[in-house]
Amino acid sequence: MEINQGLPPPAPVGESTPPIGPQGGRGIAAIAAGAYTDIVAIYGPSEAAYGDTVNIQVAIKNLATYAIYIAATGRYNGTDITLSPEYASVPAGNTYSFTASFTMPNKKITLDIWSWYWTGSEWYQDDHEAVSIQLKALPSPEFSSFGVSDYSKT
Amino acid sequence: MRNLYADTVEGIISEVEGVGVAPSGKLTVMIGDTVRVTHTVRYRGKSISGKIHTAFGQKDTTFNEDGNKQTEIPVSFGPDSDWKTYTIPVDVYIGGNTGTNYDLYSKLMSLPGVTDIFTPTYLNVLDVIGAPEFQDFKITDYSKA
Repeated sequence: MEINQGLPPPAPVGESTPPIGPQGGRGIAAIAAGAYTDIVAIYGPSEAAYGDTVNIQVAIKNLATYAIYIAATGRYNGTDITLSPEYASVPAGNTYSFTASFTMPNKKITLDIWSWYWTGSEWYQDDHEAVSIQLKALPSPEFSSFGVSDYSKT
Repeated sequence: MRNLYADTVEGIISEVEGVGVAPSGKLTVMIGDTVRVTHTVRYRGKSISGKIHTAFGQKDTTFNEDGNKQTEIPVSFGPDSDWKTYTIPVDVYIGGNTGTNYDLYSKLMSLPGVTDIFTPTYLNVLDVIGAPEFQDFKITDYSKA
């Protein structure tokens, strides 16, 4: 096992299975990679229109030398989002992708993503990344092909 | 069910002239019935609300609506960044007088910043007959069979 003074080490997969994914708030954002996990990429649109479905994918790498449980959580403008799966067993050095969808609000957002690892007794927040998604302006109202498609007695 | 869209050249010409393609069969209803008129329209843009007005009547140089055979309901669209097809059913109560060869049209109205949008006019799509009536119901005779 690696030594990271002051940080609880992750539990090896098989030693302790997390009952659920991480819940609740987040701590201070980490800088660069985490101690045992690294958010290597956040895939998603750079802009979206109000009401669009925004699909994101978060790739997280296991920096430990053994398989550990990794989870991801997210939030934009104070709204939590749930990533799927709840958590995953990730072999040493491997990268795992978590996905989520949400509806674009009527303003630009900053999307925060946190990675977590399971210590054997709790989820520990490790890495953090943030991306911005710009609000795409909607076109002026346009209608076409307005017609009656059917009528019948009810 | 009557599909008012046509895939014929005749249909295209009718649309250009502002007259829709008549259904293959006319709908016959009675006073007091309700006719569901289903519309489709494609929309893209910001969130917007207005009304849809559907009326039966008689078209000559203008469309003369029958005030007892029309309906107006609120509608909302968007926000949609890409074209989206909306289906809008409108129930029209058939009141007033009987008649034949009613025409039909609808319009989208009261949309902020948007001028009213009209469907083609569909000609001779409805006949309205009276409610069933009985008269002189009585026993005229009785005898051993």
